[in-house]
Amino acid sequence: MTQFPRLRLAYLYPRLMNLYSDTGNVWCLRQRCAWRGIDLVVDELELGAEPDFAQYDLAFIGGGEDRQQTIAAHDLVHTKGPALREALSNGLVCLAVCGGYQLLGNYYRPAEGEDLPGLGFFRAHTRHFGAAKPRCVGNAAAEGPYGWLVGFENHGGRTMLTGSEPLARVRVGFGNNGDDSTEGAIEGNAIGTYLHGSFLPKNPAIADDLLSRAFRRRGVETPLPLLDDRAEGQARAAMFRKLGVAKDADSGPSELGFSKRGRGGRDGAT
Amino acid sequence: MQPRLSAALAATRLASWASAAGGRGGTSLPGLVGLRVEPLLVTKLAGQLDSAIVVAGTNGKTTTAAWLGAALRADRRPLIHNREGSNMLRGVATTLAKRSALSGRLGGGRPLVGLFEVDEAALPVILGQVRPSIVLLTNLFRDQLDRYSELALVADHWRAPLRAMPASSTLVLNADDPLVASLGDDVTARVLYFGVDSWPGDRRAQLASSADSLYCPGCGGALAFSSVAYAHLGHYRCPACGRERPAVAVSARVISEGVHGTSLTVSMGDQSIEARLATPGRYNVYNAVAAIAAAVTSGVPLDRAVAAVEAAKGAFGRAETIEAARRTVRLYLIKNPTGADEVLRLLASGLKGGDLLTLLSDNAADGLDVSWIWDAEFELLAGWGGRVTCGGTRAEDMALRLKYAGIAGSPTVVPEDVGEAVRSALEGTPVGGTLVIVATYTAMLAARDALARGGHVRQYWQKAGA
Repeated sequence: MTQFPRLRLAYLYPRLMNLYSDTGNVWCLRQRCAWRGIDLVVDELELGAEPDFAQYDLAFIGGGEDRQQTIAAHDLVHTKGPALREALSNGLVCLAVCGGYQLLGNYYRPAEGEDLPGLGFFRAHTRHFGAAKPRCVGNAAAEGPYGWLVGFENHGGRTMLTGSEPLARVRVGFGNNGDDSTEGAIEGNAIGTYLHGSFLPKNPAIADDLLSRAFRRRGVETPLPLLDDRAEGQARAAMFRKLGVAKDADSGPSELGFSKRGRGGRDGAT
Repeated sequence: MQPRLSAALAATRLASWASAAGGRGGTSLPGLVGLRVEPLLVTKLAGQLDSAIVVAGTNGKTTTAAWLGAALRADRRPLIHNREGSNMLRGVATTLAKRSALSGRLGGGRPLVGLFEVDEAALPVILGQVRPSIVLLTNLFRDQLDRYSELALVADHWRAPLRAMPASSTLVLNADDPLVASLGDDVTARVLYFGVDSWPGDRRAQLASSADSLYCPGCGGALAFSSVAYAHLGHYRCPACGRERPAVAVSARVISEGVHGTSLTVSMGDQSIEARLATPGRYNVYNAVAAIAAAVTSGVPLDRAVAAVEAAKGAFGRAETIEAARRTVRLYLIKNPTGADEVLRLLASGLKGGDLLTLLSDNAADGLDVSWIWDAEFELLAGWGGRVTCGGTRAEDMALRLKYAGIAGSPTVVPEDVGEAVRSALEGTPVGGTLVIVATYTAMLAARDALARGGHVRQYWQKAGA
């Protein structure tokens, strides 16, 4: 298994930003590498650390509570900011979930108080409307180039894309903002999403895509060996049944792409 | 005579009969119906109590309240306790109504102590209506964030009603939980802190991955921990503003711990008493010290409180052992990463070898979001010898989690019906063998119900006494 070099993952703020068990995403990447005989080294980078992001293949950042997110935002923008932004522009593969996704956008505008500047990588911004709009909470399903995505969302902020492509179209749930039926964002090799649950174990196509992107960046084009994903398929199928979405939803990547089917509703087609 | 109150009490009676006729022990419907007729039902009935004690927190409140109840009974206090499960306002209403005459008189005029286990979200309204003389707060962990959204918000939601408590009342707080300890800031009520002074070897300096309260509740700086009991409970100090674990009035020193129980010394002032807890787990040490601290606050002598807690068993469904069809069934409630980690550590440390049935459900009382299973260390079960099956409404999610945890073979997903799952797991376990069940709240109730229907255990609402 020497054709796959060792990968390095920068896990940003594992303690500060792990509100909804986002750590399961990192664990998923590590296991899917281990099952293929690939070595994935995970470095935990907390407040104050100023790593050389050029030495990393992947980065991950999860979500936190408001106060913790404010602390992380300051560190992310001022301490790690320039190096991280440059690495992302050079194709660093990244997954950002919930609060982490918000922090990689242009800014976060709270219901009260001043705007919180973000890293400015995703062309997107987030607003919290306070009590005027309810939190976006519940099981969710979305459809896009990666096929169907499932997860649980729980966010108060609403994200508007101002240039970045959406990751998927919402079929059940709120997604970025509950209005325009977009969910998440893709920019270069970085993916942002509101889905947790954890996200990657239930959406292994994305997990493997992140790894493939990391290898391609290292010049390795060999496809990843296939894994037995029956347990993943079973968990996805159970959620599709629960949400009443298409029975054949998991038959492969969608050919529909970003079609104009109804937003946020239940897709009863079989 | 208060006609509206009497009408409300009559309505609760009808609702109890109706739910009893349906074969269910209604613990919330009667109260709900009564509150519809008389919104002040709880205020009017609780006002007749001699005193009231409220227990709240994320983990262990049922066990803590049960042990506190045992200590109060040992001191011959006539007690009224919402032990049957519902810990919302309606559950408190059901409990009070059951002990009231239709005239609206509570407990036949005897001076009763009210002991109420209370849900995190219901605490403010219940404090306003019950007006307790003692409030015991155990800990705050991430649990059901789909209901409460953020941990700090739960604490903030509690601060104003706690500050409104009069000087004659007492707040009994866990000194080892930074966020809970901070609830004693700027209150009028007296504050009594409890905590655990030392563990054998103090082996855990590392904070668990599920630790929640790592930042100073005062200034937001990172807390420095000199010792950690589990998760974020321990001895801490904020290097930035100097806030630290407050001095404790009731404390424990743990001498030895294992799967069969814990030996410890409980101290208050110049008194020290050796004790032995049969229910294992560090979380149960906190449950015990919390119950003892609240008991002595209400006037129970320390030795009597300690003896009562030593003699008490786990509350229903929490670390319970049941003999069923010539097999041993061990039931453990899991509902969030911290509690689950303690159960998993216990299982990993000595109970391996039996069959394991996990029951993960996502009904409202369990929490709709099952993400937390990825924060619990199921890796501890890697190498589990027996058969592993997964049931509950989110069985497939747990099977996936166990796959990533490296549990050998792929766990079997059994029918969604929990009763079916329990029956088939029990049949699959050899006679004389052990079946370990770890279950979320509603799955635990259903599992116990299935065992009760098989005649192996009494329904929890049939327990003698109140």
